[in-house]
Amino acid sequence: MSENNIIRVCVAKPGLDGHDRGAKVLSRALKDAGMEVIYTGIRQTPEQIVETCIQEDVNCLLLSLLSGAHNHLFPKIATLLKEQGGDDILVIGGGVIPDEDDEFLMKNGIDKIFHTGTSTEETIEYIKSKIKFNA
Amino acid sequence: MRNKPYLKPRELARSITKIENGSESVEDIISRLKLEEVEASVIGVTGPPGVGKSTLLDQLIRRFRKDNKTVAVVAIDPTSFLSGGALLGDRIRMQKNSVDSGVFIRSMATRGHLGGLNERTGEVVSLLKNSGFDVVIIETVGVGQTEVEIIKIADTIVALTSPTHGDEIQMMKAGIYEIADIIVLNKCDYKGSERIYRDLCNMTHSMNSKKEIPVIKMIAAEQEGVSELLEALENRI
Repeated sequence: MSENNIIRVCVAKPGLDGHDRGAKVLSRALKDAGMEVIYTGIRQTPEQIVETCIQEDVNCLLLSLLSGAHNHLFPKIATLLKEQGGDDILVIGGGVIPDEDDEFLMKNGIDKIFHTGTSTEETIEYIKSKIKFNA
Repeated sequence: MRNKPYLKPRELARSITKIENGSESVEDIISRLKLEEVEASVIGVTGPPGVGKSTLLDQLIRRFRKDNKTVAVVAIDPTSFLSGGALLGDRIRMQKNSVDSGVFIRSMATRGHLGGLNERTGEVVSLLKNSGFDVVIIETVGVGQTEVEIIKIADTIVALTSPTHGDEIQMMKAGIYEIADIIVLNKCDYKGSERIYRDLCNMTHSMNSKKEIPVIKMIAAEQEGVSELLEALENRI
């Protein structure tokens, strides 16, 4: 159960991927949906992303990656997050991720993968449905 | 004697959330966690949107860390009047200071509060002062001419302006430049900076002859002027 009453989301781009148009579009959409969004910027290490999530006490981490390194980076981030006490943070991912990698990622700390073509509305509804606040 | 900072980041972050949402008071948290105040300086950094506050903060954090000082930052951005959400985009400019246990950065949205801050910023700063940080820096929202609430919380106020933000008359108007302890003229690589600098010096000289208000020329993105600002801060602390 979260102490927050407004959903706080970290939108992060791990690794060497510099294509941030999608991350920016989503950041803006989440803000327009009433969430507080911390966008990390590009070229973040897993350690930087986890530090941001912990300090900002976010409810959700949204990882965006188009470089193909998701099978390596996403589980690493999820593990680091758990080690630092962030196991109740919803971790979701999107970008250029083949369908066949979903199973591996979901077994390794990622709650759901949103593939290319997913609407921002769908992502927003999913986040809202999963975050429960103290009454 | 506890190591600074006193709390694990997760615990500190969660405590800030409780204060922000009103579920626990800062006094109760301080008492529950048995925290002890140290001599923390509280610096407020303010100025119009886009003038370079976050860029300057990034430089300041680095220099304080070189002096082995622990630093906490509260960076505030506006909540959308339309949606209630916010894009908290100050932290992105402080990336050079990440993964350092001596630095803690928290972004807050105004959540409808006027004055340049979140309603509970003062209490969050109180918690940070009691959590073993040597320096606490508050970055207000990009302010206009009327958001001066920072004066209630900070010991020293640094107000930024730039050559594109208006002339001498503009600077004479009521607002943040009246409450500033130090004025920074950032983006001095822009045209007209010398003229504005002279105008600012004249203005601060005539404003209050008892209190010396330094005017510092700066190009924060290139670290120029940061040493002079640190010296001015040192003189005040």
